[in-house]
Amino acid sequence: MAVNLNPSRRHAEVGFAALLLGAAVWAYVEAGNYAGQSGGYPRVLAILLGLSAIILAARTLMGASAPDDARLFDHPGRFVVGLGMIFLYVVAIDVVGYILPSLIFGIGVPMLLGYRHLQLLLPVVIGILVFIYLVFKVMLERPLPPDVLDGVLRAIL
Amino acid sequence: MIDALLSALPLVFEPANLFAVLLGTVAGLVVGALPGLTVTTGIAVLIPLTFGLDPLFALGMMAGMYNGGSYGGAIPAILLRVPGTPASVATILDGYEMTKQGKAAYALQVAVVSGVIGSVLSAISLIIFAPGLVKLSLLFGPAEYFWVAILGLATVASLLGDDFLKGLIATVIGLLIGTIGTDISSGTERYTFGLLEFADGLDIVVLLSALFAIPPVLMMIEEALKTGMPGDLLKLKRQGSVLADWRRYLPIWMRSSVIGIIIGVLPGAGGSMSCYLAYNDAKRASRQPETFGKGNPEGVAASEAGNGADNAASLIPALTLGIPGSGVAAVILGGLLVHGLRPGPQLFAEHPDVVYGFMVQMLLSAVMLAVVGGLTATRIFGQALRLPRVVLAPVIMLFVTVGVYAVNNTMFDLYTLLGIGLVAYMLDKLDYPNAPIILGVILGPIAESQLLLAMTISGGDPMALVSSPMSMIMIALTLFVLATPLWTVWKQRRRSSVEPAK
Repeated sequence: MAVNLNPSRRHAEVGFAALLLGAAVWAYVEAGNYAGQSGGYPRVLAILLGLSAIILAARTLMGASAPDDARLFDHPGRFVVGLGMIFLYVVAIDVVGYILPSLIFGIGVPMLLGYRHLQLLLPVVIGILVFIYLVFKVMLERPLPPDVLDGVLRAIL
Repeated sequence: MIDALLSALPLVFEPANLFAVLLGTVAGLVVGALPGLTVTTGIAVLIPLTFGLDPLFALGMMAGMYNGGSYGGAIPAILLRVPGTPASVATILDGYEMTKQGKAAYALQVAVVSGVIGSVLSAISLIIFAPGLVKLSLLFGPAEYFWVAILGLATVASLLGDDFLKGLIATVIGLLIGTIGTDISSGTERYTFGLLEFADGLDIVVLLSALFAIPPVLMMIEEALKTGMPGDLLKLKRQGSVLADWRRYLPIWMRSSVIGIIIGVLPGAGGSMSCYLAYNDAKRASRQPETFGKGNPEGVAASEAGNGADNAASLIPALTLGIPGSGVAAVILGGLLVHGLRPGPQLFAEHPDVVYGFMVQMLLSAVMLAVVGGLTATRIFGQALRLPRVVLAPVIMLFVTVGVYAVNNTMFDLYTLLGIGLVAYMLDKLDYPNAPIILGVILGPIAESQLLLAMTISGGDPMALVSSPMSMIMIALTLFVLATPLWTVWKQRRRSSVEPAK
């Protein structure tokens, strides 16, 4: 059976309720390892979450609140592209630093989605990066992720 | 008091000190408007910069930063659905809906005017009632604080949205997230996965950004709209004047400000609770409660007036007793100490000109906020919406990533942002309300710790929770808050059953 990457809203509701139930069971079991009163409060919350998830799943399966034909994503392709770009952006910050990945992300995402107006895109993204660098790094002395361009920027500023 | 006030006024109105208040207000607006930067961070950065300067110059900058930052958080909340501060979450509920309806400029106007009115009333209460209001805060022990937190949680009833069950699930998720970290009663680490980064719980800035910034970014990417909001829709005057509608907002401003001042006086209760309580009160009192959460400007007015009213009031226990009621108050106390001013009753006796001068500066910065926030910042920041949505989405991410990283200087927070952001997107897609999650995260730990403390002090006697008049008042208020939506539903059903009969 082929797996549909864009499930119906009803399936998504039930699937998410199942995930919540799983999380509630895990939270309940995990809280059993906590000494003294520390586990009591989270266990009550876990039971409440589990019961609510079961009721929600049952309501969705029996009721007509979520129509079968409605899909979860309006544009699944764009969602995957967006999520992938955000994931790569964070990983790239970890590896290369903040400035270069931000520049590529800021310009790349609109271009990937079909926006080609570079006269606006370039000044906006570069201007915002300069603003962020000046406010966070120079004025407020807040740390930015270690960057391969740190030496160059230090020489300029 | 009058003598001290009169001797402080000439000092406050010295050009250098006036400039300090203005500078602080502008800086506060920028700090508040940038996700990830909090007022606490801004003031903490200010302290070493102002070391060696005149105390009133330094305190003027802090006063401006506090009021400016408090309003600044509303700007991204209304325009982008990204709360600049935790206290801006209630502003999102109606503010962002107004933006979607093309009323962003009016929403910002409502926010700034309401914030200014709340801040002004709060500053006046600080000046006039500080010694008296301290006695009120001293009536609150652990049992009473437990009930204050329960009262705050009861306001969830007004935030649940159309689906009670999903609202309940969101609240429980928030309460469970609030248990992450070290349990102070036993030292046990709960749900930390053995990670040191979770030992103090999930950072509120990371959580706020994940819940409120990642979903709209992903949705903007999904929509891929290549146009922005027309400039016409951002012209302040075109959408009407809040001041012309003052009769509509006056009761909300007054009631929300009183709520904000009372909550502000209680150490530990905090601004986010006052804006939720004010929002709940406005919705309860409204003739059209069903329009709240769907772009009703009264929701923005209540939230921002409550938030602004909390500011100066939260300094009352800080200045008079030396008890910091919030993170910001704690940093300001630090700032006072740096300048050789020891907070407490002796501060009023030893340095009346400075302490009253600081109170007047809180008032002054609130007034300056009207000019700087209303005329300048609102116009400038509002232009962000003119960017095509497909460009705006990555721009928001640039701010969010740097803001989240700057909190703890660790990549761990960015990966946490990513993970929670994906779950938040699913919650959003499936119509789970986000605001109850934040309320649960903030108030759950307060309720649990105060309950344990009250039980420990009383030797496990549960009657200690209901033994004081203040506890009874809090319980009555909680029941009142919970009963109001039920009463409204009952009234509506009764009306609809009577109408067909006619």
